[in-house]
Amino acid sequence: MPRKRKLPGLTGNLKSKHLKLAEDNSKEENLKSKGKWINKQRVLVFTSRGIPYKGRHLVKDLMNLMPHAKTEVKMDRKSDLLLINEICEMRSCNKCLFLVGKKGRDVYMWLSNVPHGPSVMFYVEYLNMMEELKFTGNCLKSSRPLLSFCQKFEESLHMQLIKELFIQTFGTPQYHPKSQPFVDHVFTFSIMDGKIWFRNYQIAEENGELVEIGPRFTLTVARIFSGSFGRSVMYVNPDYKSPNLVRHLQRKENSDKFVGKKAAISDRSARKLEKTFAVDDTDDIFR
Amino acid sequence: MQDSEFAEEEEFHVPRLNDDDPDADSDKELQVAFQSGLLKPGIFRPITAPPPRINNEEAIRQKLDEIKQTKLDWVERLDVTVVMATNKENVEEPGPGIGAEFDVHNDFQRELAFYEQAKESVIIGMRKLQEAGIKTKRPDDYFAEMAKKDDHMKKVREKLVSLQRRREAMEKNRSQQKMKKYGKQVQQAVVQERQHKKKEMLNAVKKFRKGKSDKLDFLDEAPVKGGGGSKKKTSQLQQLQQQNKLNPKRAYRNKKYGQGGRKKGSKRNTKESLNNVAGKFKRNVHSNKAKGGKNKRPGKSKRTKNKSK
Repeated sequence: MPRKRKLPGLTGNLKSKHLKLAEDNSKEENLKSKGKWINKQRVLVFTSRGIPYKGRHLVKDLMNLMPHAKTEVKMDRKSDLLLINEICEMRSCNKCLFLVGKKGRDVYMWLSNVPHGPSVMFYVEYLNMMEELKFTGNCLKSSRPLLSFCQKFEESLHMQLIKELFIQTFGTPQYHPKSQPFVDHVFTFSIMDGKIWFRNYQIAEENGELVEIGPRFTLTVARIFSGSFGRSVMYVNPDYKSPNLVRHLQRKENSDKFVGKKAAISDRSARKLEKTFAVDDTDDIFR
Repeated sequence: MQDSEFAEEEEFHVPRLNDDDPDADSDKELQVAFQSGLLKPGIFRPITAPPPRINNEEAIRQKLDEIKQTKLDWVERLDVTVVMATNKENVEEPGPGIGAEFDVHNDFQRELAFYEQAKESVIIGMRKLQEAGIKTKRPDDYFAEMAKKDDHMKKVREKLVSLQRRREAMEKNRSQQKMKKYGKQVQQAVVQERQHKKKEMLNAVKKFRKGKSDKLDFLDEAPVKGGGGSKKKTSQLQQLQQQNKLNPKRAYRNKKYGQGGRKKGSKRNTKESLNNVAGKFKRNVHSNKAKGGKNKRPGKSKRTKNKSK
Protein backbone atom coordinates (compact mmCIF):
# COMPACT_ATOMS: atom_id res chain seq x y z
CA MET A 1 0.00 0.00 0.00
CA PRO A 2 1.44 3.36 -0.95
CA ARG A 3 2.26 5.62 1.92
CA LYS A 4 -0.05 8.55 2.39
CA ARG A 5 1.79 11.74 1.58
CA LYS A 6 1.16 14.76 3.70
CA LEU A 7 -0.18 17.59 1.60
CA PRO A 8 2.14 20.56 1.75
CA GLY A 9 0.82 23.59 3.55
CA LEU A 10 -1.75 21.67 5.56
CA THR A 11 0.32 20.53 8.49
CA GLY A 12 -1.02 20.70 12.03
CA ASN A 13 -1.58 24.28 13.09
CA LEU A 14 -2.00 25.76 9.70
CA LYS A 15 -4.84 23.36 8.96
CA SER A 16 -6.81 24.46 11.98
CA LYS A 17 -6.06 28.10 11.21
CA HIS A 18 -7.44 27.70 7.72
CA LEU A 19 -10.52 25.94 9.03
CA LYS A 20 -11.10 28.60 11.62
CA LEU A 21 -10.89 31.40 9.08
CA ALA A 22 -13.29 29.51 6.88
CA GLU A 23 -15.70 29.13 9.78
CA ASP A 24 -15.53 32.79 10.59
CA ASN A 25 -16.06 33.76 6.99
CA SER A 26 -19.15 31.60 6.72
CA LYS A 27 -20.56 33.16 9.85
CA GLU A 28 -19.79 36.57 8.47
CA GLU A 29 -21.78 35.68 5.38
CA ASN A 30 -24.73 34.67 7.48
CA LEU A 31 -24.87 38.12 9.00
CA LYS A 32 -24.73 40.84 6.47
CA SER A 33 -21.72 42.53 7.98
CA LYS A 34 -19.67 42.66 4.87
CA GLY A 35 -18.03 45.91 5.58
CA LYS A 36 -14.63 47.16 4.73
CA TRP A 37 -11.91 46.99 7.31
CA ILE A 38 -10.50 50.50 7.45
CA ASN A 39 -8.99 50.86 10.90
CA LYS A 40 -5.85 48.80 10.51
CA GLN A 41 -4.50 48.23 13.95
CA ARG A 42 -2.19 45.35 14.73
CA VAL A 43 -0.81 44.92 18.21
CA LEU A 44 2.26 42.94 19.11
CA VAL A 45 1.96 41.52 22.63
CA PHE A 46 4.98 39.85 24.11
CA THR A 47 7.22 39.74 27.16
CA SER A 48 10.81 39.84 28.20
CA ARG A 49 12.53 36.93 29.88
CA GLY A 50 12.22 36.61 33.61
CA ILE A 51 8.53 37.43 33.77
CA PRO A 52 6.45 35.84 36.56
CA TYR A 53 3.62 33.49 35.72
CA LYS A 54 0.96 36.18 36.07
CA GLY A 55 2.60 38.19 33.31
CA ARG A 56 2.60 35.20 31.00
CA HIS A 57 -1.06 34.57 31.69
CA LEU A 58 -1.88 38.18 31.03
CA VAL A 59 -0.34 37.85 27.58
CA LYS A 60 -2.35 34.69 27.00
CA ASP A 61 -5.56 36.42 28.08
CA LEU A 62 -4.91 39.46 25.90
CA MET A 63 -4.23 37.25 22.89
CA ASN A 64 -7.49 35.50 23.66
CA LEU A 65 -9.52 38.69 23.83
CA MET A 66 -7.93 40.71 21.05
CA PRO A 67 -8.15 39.20 17.58
CA HIS A 68 -5.95 41.94 16.19
CA ALA A 69 -3.02 40.92 18.38
CA LYS A 70 0.04 38.85 17.58
CA THR A 71 2.61 37.40 19.88
CA GLU A 72 6.34 36.88 19.72
CA VAL A 73 8.95 34.87 21.54
CA LYS A 74 10.40 36.29 24.74
CA MET A 75 12.97 38.96 24.22
CA ASP A 76 16.20 39.10 26.12
CA ARG A 77 16.24 41.88 28.68
CA LYS A 78 19.80 42.80 27.92
CA SER A 79 19.05 43.87 24.35
CA ASP A 80 18.13 47.41 23.51
CA LEU A 81 14.49 48.39 23.62
CA LEU A 82 14.78 50.04 20.22
CA LEU A 83 15.10 46.52 18.81
CA ILE A 84 11.40 46.12 19.47
CA ASN A 85 10.64 48.69 16.80
CA GLU A 86 12.33 46.48 14.27
CA ILE A 87 10.52 43.38 15.45
CA CYS A 88 7.21 45.21 15.11
CA GLU A 89 8.10 46.33 11.62
CA MET A 90 8.88 42.74 10.64
CA ARG A 91 5.51 41.57 11.93
CA SER A 92 3.84 44.63 10.41
CA CYS A 93 2.37 45.77 13.71
CA ASN A 94 1.69 49.38 14.50
CA LYS A 95 1.12 49.05 18.25
CA CYS A 96 3.08 47.19 20.86
CA LEU A 97 2.36 45.94 24.36
CA PHE A 98 5.62 44.83 25.90
CA LEU A 99 5.66 43.32 29.39
CA VAL A 100 8.88 43.35 31.35
CA GLY A 101 9.48 41.23 34.39
CA LYS A 102 12.15 42.20 36.89
CA LYS A 103 13.38 40.30 39.92
CA GLY A 104 10.80 37.65 39.27
CA ARG A 105 8.05 39.73 40.84
CA ASP A 106 7.73 43.23 39.35
CA VAL A 107 5.86 43.57 36.07
CA TYR A 108 6.12 46.68 33.93
CA MET A 109 4.15 47.34 30.78
CA TRP A 110 5.22 49.39 27.77
CA LEU A 111 2.49 50.60 25.47
CA SER A 112 3.76 52.13 22.28
CA ASN A 113 2.64 53.41 18.94
CA VAL A 114 5.42 51.88 16.98
CA PRO A 115 6.98 53.79 14.18
CA HIS A 116 7.13 57.37 15.47
CA GLY A 117 4.49 57.77 18.07
CA PRO A 118 4.53 58.19 21.81
CA SER A 119 5.14 55.37 24.25
CA VAL A 120 4.18 54.96 27.87
CA MET A 121 5.71 52.88 30.60
CA PHE A 122 3.46 51.60 33.37
CA TYR A 123 4.01 49.64 36.54
CA VAL A 124 1.51 46.79 36.76
CA GLU A 125 -0.04 45.71 40.04
CA TYR A 126 -2.89 43.54 41.30
CA LEU A 127 -2.79 41.17 38.34
CA ASN A 128 -5.57 38.61 38.22
CA MET A 129 -5.85 36.12 35.40
CA MET A 130 -8.96 35.26 33.45
CA GLU A 131 -8.50 31.67 34.56
CA GLU A 132 -9.31 32.37 38.20
CA LEU A 133 -12.55 30.76 39.28
CA LYS A 134 -13.92 33.90 40.87
CA PHE A 135 -14.53 35.37 37.41
CA THR A 136 -17.75 33.77 36.29
CA GLY A 137 -18.46 35.63 33.04
CA ASN A 138 -17.66 34.52 29.51
CA CYS A 139 -17.69 36.19 26.12
CA LEU A 140 -17.16 35.39 22.49
CA LYS A 141 -13.54 34.90 21.72
CA SER A 142 -13.01 37.67 19.22
CA SER A 143 -15.94 39.94 19.80
CA ARG A 144 -15.52 43.68 19.84
CA PRO A 145 -15.38 45.34 23.24
CA LEU A 146 -17.12 48.48 24.33
CA LEU A 147 -14.52 50.76 25.91
CA SER A 148 -15.58 52.68 28.97
CA PHE A 149 -13.49 55.52 30.37
CA CYS A 150 -13.81 57.51 33.54
CA GLN A 151 -14.29 61.26 33.22
CA LYS A 152 -10.91 61.83 34.87
CA PHE A 153 -9.20 60.89 31.62
CA GLU A 154 -10.27 64.22 30.20
CA GLU A 155 -8.89 66.25 33.04
CA SER A 156 -5.23 66.21 32.13
CA LEU A 157 -3.42 66.21 28.81
CA HIS A 158 -1.22 63.20 29.42
CA MET A 159 -4.29 61.16 30.40
CA GLN A 160 -5.97 62.13 27.15
CA LEU A 161 -2.95 60.82 25.29
CA ILE A 162 -3.07 57.58 27.25
CA LYS A 163 -6.79 57.27 26.59
CA GLU A 164 -6.23 57.63 22.86
CA LEU A 165 -3.56 54.94 22.95
CA PHE A 166 -5.88 52.62 24.88
CA ILE A 167 -8.70 53.07 22.39
CA GLN A 168 -6.43 52.30 19.47
CA THR A 169 -4.75 49.34 21.15
CA PHE A 170 -7.52 47.59 23.07
CA GLY A 171 -10.38 48.36 20.74
CA THR A 172 -10.94 45.71 18.07
CA PRO A 173 -11.22 47.30 14.65
CA GLN A 174 -14.55 46.96 12.93
CA TYR A 175 -14.82 44.30 10.23
CA HIS A 176 -11.53 42.76 11.23
CA PRO A 177 -11.51 39.34 9.51
CA LYS A 178 -11.11 37.44 12.76
CA SER A 179 -13.59 39.46 14.77
CA GLN A 180 -17.16 38.56 15.65
CA PRO A 181 -19.72 41.22 14.84
CA PHE A 182 -21.34 41.30 18.28
CA VAL A 183 -20.49 43.60 21.14
CA ASP A 184 -20.88 41.50 24.24
CA HIS A 185 -18.28 42.70 26.68
CA VAL A 186 -16.96 45.99 28.01
CA PHE A 187 -13.46 47.05 29.02
CA THR A 188 -13.50 49.52 31.89
CA PHE A 189 -10.67 51.95 32.53
CA SER A 190 -11.05 53.99 35.72
CA ILE A 191 -8.73 56.36 37.47
CA MET A 192 -8.62 55.97 41.22
CA ASP A 193 -5.90 56.99 43.63
CA GLY A 194 -3.76 58.12 40.70
CA LYS A 195 -3.77 54.66 39.11
CA ILE A 196 -5.58 53.21 36.11
CA TRP A 197 -7.74 50.22 36.98
CA PHE A 198 -8.75 47.79 34.22
CA ARG A 199 -11.80 45.53 34.40
CA ASN A 200 -13.52 43.36 31.82
CA TYR A 201 -17.25 42.66 32.17
CA GLN A 202 -19.64 40.53 30.15
CA ILE A 203 -22.86 42.25 29.15
CA ALA A 204 -25.35 39.68 30.38
CA GLU A 205 -28.48 41.74 29.86
CA GLU A 206 -29.31 44.74 27.74
CA ASN A 207 -30.36 46.69 30.82
CA GLY A 208 -26.81 46.74 32.11
CA GLU A 209 -26.41 43.57 34.12
CA LEU A 210 -22.76 42.64 34.12
CA VAL A 211 -20.62 39.70 35.14
CA GLU A 212 -16.89 39.97 35.44
CA ILE A 213 -14.78 37.99 32.97
CA GLY A 214 -11.29 39.06 33.89
CA PRO A 215 -8.36 39.73 33.62
CA ARG A 216 -7.81 42.49 36.09
CA PHE A 217 -4.85 44.76 36.48
CA THR A 218 -3.84 48.17 37.77
CA LEU A 219 -1.44 50.46 35.96
CA THR A 220 0.61 53.28 37.43
CA VAL A 221 2.01 55.68 34.84
CA ALA A 222 5.74 56.00 35.23
CA ARG A 223 6.92 57.92 32.20
CA ILE A 224 5.73 59.02 28.79
CA PHE A 225 8.25 59.19 25.97
CA SER A 226 7.92 61.06 22.73
CA GLY A 227 9.39 58.28 20.62
CA SER A 228 8.64 54.59 20.52
CA PHE A 229 10.63 53.01 23.35
CA GLY A 230 12.94 55.95 23.66
CA ARG A 231 13.72 59.51 22.72
CA SER A 232 12.87 62.39 24.99
CA VAL A 233 10.75 62.20 28.09
CA MET A 234 7.50 64.11 27.82
CA TYR A 235 6.00 63.35 31.20
CA VAL A 236 7.22 61.99 34.52
CA ASN A 237 4.69 60.96 37.11
CA PRO A 238 5.69 62.69 40.37
CA ASP A 239 3.78 60.18 42.49
CA TYR A 240 5.38 57.14 40.97
CA LYS A 241 7.96 55.34 43.08
CA SER A 242 9.54 52.28 41.58
CA PRO A 243 8.83 49.15 43.63
CA ASN A 244 12.55 48.73 44.13
CA LEU A 245 12.82 52.16 45.69
CA VAL A 246 9.85 51.47 47.92
CA ARG A 247 11.42 48.26 49.21
CA HIS A 248 14.76 50.00 49.63
CA LEU A 249 13.25 52.82 51.69
CA GLN A 250 11.36 50.35 53.85
CA ARG A 251 14.51 48.44 54.65
CA LYS A 252 16.41 51.66 55.37
CA GLU A 253 13.65 52.75 57.69
CA ASN A 254 13.87 49.52 59.61
CA SER A 255 17.65 49.81 59.89
CA ASP A 256 17.30 53.45 60.87
CA LYS A 257 15.11 52.46 63.77
CA PHE A 258 17.73 50.12 65.17
CA VAL A 259 20.68 52.44 64.66
CA GLY A 260 18.71 55.39 65.94
CA LYS A 261 17.81 53.46 69.06
CA LYS A 262 21.44 52.61 69.66
CA ALA A 263 22.45 56.24 69.17
CA ALA A 264 19.76 57.37 71.59
CA ILE A 265 20.93 54.91 74.24
CA SER A 266 24.56 56.02 73.98
CA ASP A 267 23.40 59.61 73.99
CA ARG A 268 21.42 59.10 77.15
CA SER A 269 24.33 57.53 78.94
CA ALA A 270 26.44 60.52 77.90
CA ARG A 271 23.90 62.98 79.21
CA LYS A 272 23.26 61.10 82.42
CA LEU A 273 24.73 62.74 85.49
CA GLU A 274 26.36 60.74 88.23
CA LYS A 275 24.37 62.45 90.90
CA THR A 276 20.77 63.36 90.13
CA PHE A 277 20.07 64.95 93.45
CA ALA A 278 22.51 67.24 95.17
CA VAL A 279 23.09 65.31 98.31
CA ASP A 280 26.13 65.65 100.44
CA ASP A 281 27.26 62.24 101.64
CA THR A 282 28.62 63.73 104.84
CA ASP A 283 25.09 64.82 105.86
CA ASP A 284 24.52 61.30 107.13
CA ILE A 285 27.29 61.59 109.62
CA PHE A 286 27.06 65.21 110.62
CA ARG A 287 23.78 66.94 111.19
CA MET B 1 33.47 64.20 79.33
CA GLN B 2 31.85 65.31 76.14
CA ASP B 3 29.63 67.77 77.90
CA SER B 4 32.48 69.92 79.13
CA GLU B 5 34.01 69.97 75.66
CA PHE B 6 30.85 71.36 74.15
CA ALA B 7 30.62 73.99 76.83
CA GLU B 8 34.08 75.20 75.99
CA GLU B 9 33.35 75.36 72.29
CA GLU B 10 30.24 77.36 72.89
CA GLU B 11 32.20 80.06 74.67
CA PHE B 12 34.65 80.62 71.87
CA HIS B 13 32.60 79.91 68.76
CA VAL B 14 29.52 81.87 67.88
CA PRO B 15 27.34 80.24 65.24
CA ARG B 16 26.80 82.37 62.18
CA LEU B 17 23.67 81.25 60.40
CA ASN B 18 23.53 83.75 57.58
CA ASP B 19 27.07 83.24 56.44
CA ASP B 20 28.21 82.76 52.88
CA ASP B 21 30.85 80.43 54.14
CA PRO B 22 31.17 77.48 51.72
CA ASP B 23 31.53 74.98 54.56
CA ALA B 24 28.86 76.52 56.71
CA ASP B 25 27.93 73.13 58.07
CA SER B 26 31.31 72.49 59.62
CA ASP B 27 31.68 70.11 62.51
CA LYS B 28 31.77 72.89 65.10
CA GLU B 29 28.58 74.41 63.76
CA LEU B 30 26.92 71.04 63.92
CA GLN B 31 28.05 70.49 67.49
CA VAL B 32 26.71 73.85 68.55
CA ALA B 33 23.45 73.30 66.77
CA PHE B 34 23.12 69.93 68.45
CA GLN B 35 23.81 71.43 71.84
CA SER B 36 21.17 74.08 71.38
CA GLY B 37 18.65 71.44 70.41
CA LEU B 38 18.26 72.24 66.75
CA LEU B 39 19.45 68.79 65.73
CA LYS B 40 18.03 65.59 67.15
CA PRO B 41 20.04 62.40 67.76
CA GLY B 42 19.96 59.83 65.05
CA ILE B 43 21.25 59.15 61.62
CA PHE B 44 21.82 61.94 59.17
CA ARG B 45 22.12 61.22 55.50
CA PRO B 46 22.40 63.54 52.56
CA ILE B 47 19.12 64.28 50.83
CA THR B 48 19.21 63.02 47.25
CA ALA B 49 17.71 65.33 44.70
CA PRO B 50 14.06 64.49 43.97
CA PRO B 51 13.30 63.03 40.53
CA PRO B 52 12.85 65.62 37.83
CA ARG B 53 9.27 66.74 37.26
CA ILE B 54 8.68 66.91 33.56
CA ASN B 55 5.34 67.72 32.00
CA ASN B 56 5.98 68.88 28.47
CA GLU B 57 2.42 69.77 27.56
CA GLU B 58 3.29 71.17 24.17
CA ALA B 59 5.01 67.99 23.06
CA ILE B 60 2.16 65.89 24.44
CA ARG B 61 -0.39 67.96 22.56
CA GLN B 62 1.61 67.62 19.38
CA LYS B 63 1.81 63.86 19.70
CA LEU B 64 -1.86 63.62 20.54
CA ASP B 65 -2.75 65.49 17.37
CA GLU B 66 -0.46 63.20 15.41
CA ILE B 67 -2.07 59.96 16.55
CA LYS B 68 -5.67 61.12 16.74
CA GLN B 69 -8.02 59.27 14.42
CA THR B 70 -10.17 62.11 13.21
CA LYS B 71 -11.56 60.41 10.13
CA LEU B 72 -13.12 57.47 11.96
CA ASP B 73 -16.71 57.26 13.15
CA TRP B 74 -17.63 56.41 16.67
CA VAL B 75 -18.63 52.95 15.50
CA GLU B 76 -15.05 52.10 14.63
CA ARG B 77 -13.80 53.00 18.08
CA LEU B 78 -16.66 52.28 20.51
CA ASP B 79 -15.46 54.46 23.35
CA VAL B 80 -17.74 55.88 26.02
CA THR B 81 -16.76 58.39 28.70
CA VAL B 82 -18.69 58.31 31.95
CA VAL B 83 -18.55 60.26 35.18
CA MET B 84 -17.91 57.89 38.07
CA ALA B 85 -20.40 57.90 40.91
CA THR B 86 -17.71 58.83 43.40
CA ASN B 87 -16.79 61.91 41.44
CA LYS B 88 -20.22 63.34 40.83
CA GLU B 89 -20.60 66.58 42.71
CA ASN B 90 -24.27 67.16 42.28
CA VAL B 91 -25.31 63.70 43.27
CA GLU B 92 -27.89 63.72 46.02
CA GLU B 93 -27.82 60.06 46.74
CA PRO B 94 -24.66 58.33 45.74
CA GLY B 95 -25.06 54.80 44.51
CA PRO B 96 -25.64 51.99 46.97
CA GLY B 97 -22.57 51.16 48.97
CA ILE B 98 -20.63 54.25 47.93
CA GLY B 99 -20.53 56.50 50.95
CA ALA B 100 -19.14 59.98 51.40
CA GLU B 101 -15.75 58.64 52.40
CA PHE B 102 -14.62 56.56 49.50
CA ASP B 103 -11.70 54.32 50.32
CA VAL B 104 -9.64 52.73 47.57
CA HIS B 105 -8.67 49.90 49.85
CA ASN B 106 -12.27 48.94 50.56
CA ASP B 107 -12.55 46.17 47.96
CA PHE B 108 -16.30 46.03 47.87
CA GLN B 109 -16.76 49.79 47.41
CA ARG B 110 -14.09 49.95 44.78
CA GLU B 111 -15.43 47.08 42.69
CA LEU B 112 -18.92 48.49 43.05
CA ALA B 113 -17.70 51.83 41.68
CA PHE B 114 -16.19 50.09 38.64
CA TYR B 115 -19.37 48.10 38.15
CA GLU B 116 -21.48 51.25 38.24
CA GLN B 117 -19.24 52.94 35.72
CA ALA B 118 -19.41 49.95 33.39
CA LYS B 119 -23.19 49.77 33.78
CA GLU B 120 -23.69 53.41 32.89
CA SER B 121 -21.44 53.16 29.88
CA VAL B 122 -23.26 50.01 28.74
CA ILE B 123 -26.59 51.81 28.84
CA ILE B 124 -25.20 54.69 26.81
CA GLY B 125 -23.32 52.35 24.48
CA MET B 126 -26.31 50.11 23.82
CA ARG B 127 -28.35 53.06 22.68
CA LYS B 128 -25.64 54.23 20.32
CA LEU B 129 -25.08 50.74 18.96
CA GLN B 130 -28.74 50.23 18.27
CA GLU B 131 -28.79 53.52 16.39
CA ALA B 132 -25.79 52.38 14.37
CA GLY B 133 -27.37 49.00 13.70
CA ILE B 134 -24.81 46.80 15.41
CA LYS B 135 -26.12 43.74 17.17
CA THR B 136 -25.33 43.17 20.78
CA LYS B 137 -27.24 39.98 21.46
CA ARG B 138 -26.17 36.87 19.68
CA PRO B 139 -28.89 34.47 18.51
CA ASP B 140 -29.28 31.18 20.32
CA ASP B 141 -28.25 29.07 17.35
CA TYR B 142 -25.05 30.99 16.83
CA PHE B 143 -22.22 28.75 17.96
CA ALA B 144 -18.80 30.26 18.12
CA GLU B 145 -15.66 29.88 20.11
CA MET B 146 -15.83 31.48 23.50
CA ALA B 147 -12.99 33.12 25.37
CA LYS B 148 -13.19 30.53 28.13
CA LYS B 149 -13.47 26.87 27.28
CA ASP B 150 -16.48 24.79 28.25
CA ASP B 151 -14.40 22.76 30.72
CA HIS B 152 -13.41 25.92 32.50
CA MET B 153 -16.99 27.15 32.73
CA LYS B 154 -17.96 23.77 34.14
CA LYS B 155 -15.36 24.20 36.89
CA VAL B 156 -16.68 27.69 37.63
CA ARG B 157 -20.22 26.41 37.88
CA GLU B 158 -19.15 23.60 40.19
CA LYS B 159 -17.38 26.04 42.45
CA LEU B 160 -20.47 28.25 42.69
CA VAL B 161 -22.64 25.24 43.45
CA SER B 162 -20.27 24.01 46.14
CA LEU B 163 -20.21 27.47 47.75
CA GLN B 164 -23.97 27.55 47.87
CA ARG B 165 -24.13 24.04 49.28
CA ARG B 166 -21.66 24.99 52.00
CA ARG B 167 -23.72 28.01 52.93
CA GLU B 168 -26.90 25.95 53.10
CA ALA B 169 -25.21 23.29 55.20
CA MET B 170 -24.04 25.93 57.68
CA GLU B 171 -27.52 27.33 58.04
CA LYS B 172 -29.01 23.89 58.41
CA ASN B 173 -26.49 23.04 61.13
CA ARG B 174 -27.28 26.22 63.00
CA SER B 175 -31.02 25.61 62.97
CA GLN B 176 -30.54 21.96 63.90
CA GLN B 177 -28.44 22.92 66.91
CA LYS B 178 -31.15 25.29 68.06
CA MET B 179 -33.80 22.65 67.67
CA LYS B 180 -31.69 20.13 69.53
CA LYS B 181 -31.29 22.48 72.46
CA TYR B 182 -34.96 23.27 72.53
CA GLY B 183 -35.85 19.63 72.07
CA LYS B 184 -33.76 18.62 75.06
CA GLN B 185 -35.52 21.17 77.26
CA VAL B 186 -38.87 19.97 76.06
CA GLN B 187 -37.95 16.36 76.74
CA GLN B 188 -36.90 17.18 80.30
CA ALA B 189 -40.08 19.10 80.91
CA VAL B 190 -42.24 16.26 79.57
CA VAL B 191 -40.52 13.69 81.76
CA GLN B 192 -40.90 15.88 84.80
CA GLU B 193 -44.57 16.44 84.09
CA ARG B 194 -45.17 12.75 83.70
CA GLN B 195 -43.57 12.03 87.04
CA HIS B 196 -45.49 14.84 88.68
CA LYS B 197 -48.81 13.55 87.36
CA LYS B 198 -48.03 10.04 88.44
CA LYS B 199 -47.19 11.24 91.90
CA GLU B 200 -50.41 13.19 92.16
CA MET B 201 -52.41 10.26 90.94
CA LEU B 202 -50.88 7.97 93.53
CA ASN B 203 -51.50 10.53 96.27
CA ALA B 204 -55.12 10.94 95.25
CA VAL B 205 -55.58 7.17 95.22
CA LYS B 206 -54.01 6.90 98.66
CA LYS B 207 -56.30 9.62 99.95
CA PHE B 208 -59.33 7.87 98.58
CA ARG B 209 -58.22 4.56 100.01
CA LYS B 210 -57.65 6.08 103.40
CA GLY B 211 -61.02 7.58 103.17
CA LYS B 212 -60.00 11.21 103.32
CA SER B 213 -61.82 12.07 100.19
CA ASP B 214 -64.73 10.32 98.59
CA LYS B 215 -64.63 11.89 95.20
CA LEU B 216 -63.34 9.96 92.26
CA ASP B 217 -62.49 13.09 90.38
CA PHE B 218 -58.96 12.08 89.75
CA LEU B 219 -60.07 9.35 87.40
CA ASP B 220 -61.68 11.85 85.11
CA GLU B 221 -59.64 13.69 82.60
CA ALA B 222 -58.04 16.98 83.48
CA PRO B 223 -60.65 19.75 83.75
CA VAL B 224 -61.00 22.13 80.88
CA LYS B 225 -59.15 25.34 81.13
CA GLY B 226 -62.02 27.72 81.59
CA GLY B 227 -63.20 30.60 83.69
CA GLY B 228 -61.51 33.93 83.76
CA GLY B 229 -59.22 34.71 86.54
CA SER B 230 -58.12 31.18 87.25
CA LYS B 231 -54.54 31.59 88.10
CA LYS B 232 -53.67 28.09 87.20
CA LYS B 233 -50.00 27.55 86.90
CA THR B 234 -49.38 26.61 83.34
CA SER B 235 -47.19 23.59 83.30
CA GLN B 236 -43.53 23.98 82.83
CA LEU B 237 -43.75 22.48 79.38
CA GLN B 238 -46.44 24.87 78.30
CA GLN B 239 -44.48 27.80 79.67
CA LEU B 240 -41.44 26.66 77.72
CA GLN B 241 -43.44 26.29 74.56
CA GLN B 242 -44.87 29.74 74.95
CA GLN B 243 -41.52 31.31 75.64
CA ASN B 244 -39.83 29.77 72.68
CA LYS B 245 -42.49 30.95 70.33
CA LEU B 246 -42.11 34.51 71.43
CA ASN B 247 -39.30 36.91 70.96
CA PRO B 248 -37.20 36.77 74.12
CA LYS B 249 -37.87 40.46 74.58
CA ARG B 250 -41.56 39.81 74.26
CA ALA B 251 -41.29 36.92 76.73
CA TYR B 252 -39.50 39.15 79.23
CA ARG B 253 -42.10 41.83 78.92
CA ASN B 254 -44.84 39.26 79.38
CA LYS B 255 -43.21 38.07 82.54
CA LYS B 256 -42.85 41.58 83.82
CA TYR B 257 -46.20 43.06 82.92
CA GLY B 258 -48.39 40.07 82.15
CA GLN B 259 -50.94 38.56 84.56
CA GLY B 260 -51.39 41.76 86.50
CA GLY B 261 -47.71 42.64 86.60
CA ARG B 262 -45.07 41.64 89.04
CA LYS B 263 -45.80 41.77 92.68
CA LYS B 264 -44.56 44.44 95.03
CA GLY B 265 -41.04 44.34 96.12
CA SER B 266 -39.58 43.87 92.67
CA LYS B 267 -36.73 46.26 93.37
CA ARG B 268 -34.46 44.62 95.83
CA ASN B 269 -30.77 44.82 96.31
CA THR B 270 -30.15 41.10 96.24
CA LYS B 271 -27.71 38.81 94.56
CA GLU B 272 -30.06 38.34 91.63
CA SER B 273 -30.54 42.04 91.05
CA LEU B 274 -26.80 42.52 91.26
CA ASN B 275 -26.24 39.80 88.68
CA ASN B 276 -28.81 41.24 86.36
CA VAL B 277 -27.37 44.72 86.30
CA ALA B 278 -25.53 44.22 82.97
CA GLY B 279 -28.53 43.66 80.78
CA LYS B 280 -31.86 42.09 81.04
CA PHE B 281 -31.48 40.04 77.92
CA LYS B 282 -28.02 38.80 78.56
CA ARG B 283 -27.57 35.27 79.65
CA ASN B 284 -27.16 35.11 83.39
CA VAL B 285 -24.50 32.57 84.22
CA HIS B 286 -24.91 32.41 87.94
CA SER B 287 -28.59 32.95 88.30
CA ASN B 288 -30.74 30.12 89.60
CA LYS B 289 -33.65 31.45 87.65
CA ALA B 290 -32.08 30.35 84.39
CA LYS B 291 -33.74 26.98 84.59
CA GLY B 292 -36.67 28.15 86.63
CA GLY B 293 -36.22 27.80 90.37
CA LYS B 294 -38.07 24.57 90.60
CA ASN B 295 -36.79 22.96 87.51
CA LYS B 296 -33.33 22.24 88.73
CA ARG B 297 -31.93 19.04 87.39
CA PRO B 298 -32.42 16.38 90.02
CA GLY B 299 -29.39 14.57 91.45
CA LYS B 300 -27.91 11.30 90.19
CA SER B 301 -29.67 8.99 92.63
CA LYS B 302 -33.04 10.50 91.89
CA ARG B 303 -32.42 10.27 88.18
CA THR B 304 -31.46 6.60 88.31
CA LYS B 305 -34.53 5.90 90.41
CA ASN B 306 -36.76 7.67 87.97
CA LYS B 307 -35.07 6.17 84.96
CA SER B 308 -36.99 2.97 85.21
CA LYS B 309 -40.21 4.86 85.58
